[in-house]
Amino acid sequence: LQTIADDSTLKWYKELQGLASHCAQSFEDLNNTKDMQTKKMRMELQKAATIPVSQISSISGSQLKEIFDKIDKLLLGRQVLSGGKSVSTSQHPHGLEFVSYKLAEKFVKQGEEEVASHHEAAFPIAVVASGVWELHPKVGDLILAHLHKKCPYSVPYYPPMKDGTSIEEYQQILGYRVDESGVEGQDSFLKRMSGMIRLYAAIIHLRWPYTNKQGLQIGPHGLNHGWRWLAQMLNMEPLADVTATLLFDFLEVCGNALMKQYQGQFWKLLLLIKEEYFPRIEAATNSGQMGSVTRLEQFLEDALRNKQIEPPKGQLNSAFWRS
Amino acid sequence: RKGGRDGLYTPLSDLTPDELREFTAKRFTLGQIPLRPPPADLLSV
Repeated sequence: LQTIADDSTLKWYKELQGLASHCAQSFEDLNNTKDMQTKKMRMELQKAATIPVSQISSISGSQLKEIFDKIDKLLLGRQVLSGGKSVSTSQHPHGLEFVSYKLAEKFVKQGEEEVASHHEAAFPIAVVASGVWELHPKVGDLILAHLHKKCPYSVPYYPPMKDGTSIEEYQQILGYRVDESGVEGQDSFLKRMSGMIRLYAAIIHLRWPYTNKQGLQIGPHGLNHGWRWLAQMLNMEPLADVTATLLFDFLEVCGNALMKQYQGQFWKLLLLIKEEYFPRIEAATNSGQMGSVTRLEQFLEDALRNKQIEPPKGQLNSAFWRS
Repeated sequence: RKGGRDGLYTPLSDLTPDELREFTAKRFTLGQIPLRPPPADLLSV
């Protein structure tokens, strides 16, 4: 087994990181402005981009559509009402880049915080993200770039330790939060990574129901990426804890969709996990960290025995979209 | 989005010999799973 991802995976990852830093540079003047008026406008644009995302919930389809339309309008450069004031990205030459960047960052943050604590929140957030991505592909690229940076396992990418990097720096690259009090605990880290991978697994199999472009059978970042992610994970040596946790989270959210799409080939993947990959996960894991390993094992056994994977809990149904 | 690169399935004619071997075998070889999705014609094995 490899210890690093395929060249094509790494190339894609680097391209997206380059694109995101290029975007961040474009609005640097907006970030560093001393001008009070411009500062105020920046705050308002940021709010207009992030507040709708934090309001996403599974209350009703019509409420979700309102939120979606607001984000779409903002990205189209139209005037939107935010906190009683009218704002538009056309107020600044780099307003659109700024808003796209902040919006993408917020989607990922909702995965990291909201989905991490409430797994079912993945679906309404993902369906809006997928729709925005479809109409505004640049935002999609930025979502991927932020997601990859905060959760390298979503690439999947296991960053190697480089000479001259301190342990703390390296842990940060691996996705751990590091502050004055030190490195965050393993439980908190795994919970955040789970939230982000669950959001990703939901995005790849959901599609915004109102933008169906004719003749397009696949969303902006479709299930083929689910296949790619799983295959790439399984071609690499497992890491203690992280691999078992993320495989389980991923399969619980989009296993049903992958099963329907790839049928016999998907069952070949599951069989390979159970018979050849799982023993390697067990061998890599300390006896104190077996919780995630046991959950994955149970999931694989149930799926292979019943020849079935249930749809994920919390998936949005047709009654939701009528509400 | 034409062609196989971003499709849900990889066209059969696009597969490399290694990918074809993996998709037609009863089992995958550990470490050799194709990153591109299977062709629509090879879903039941």
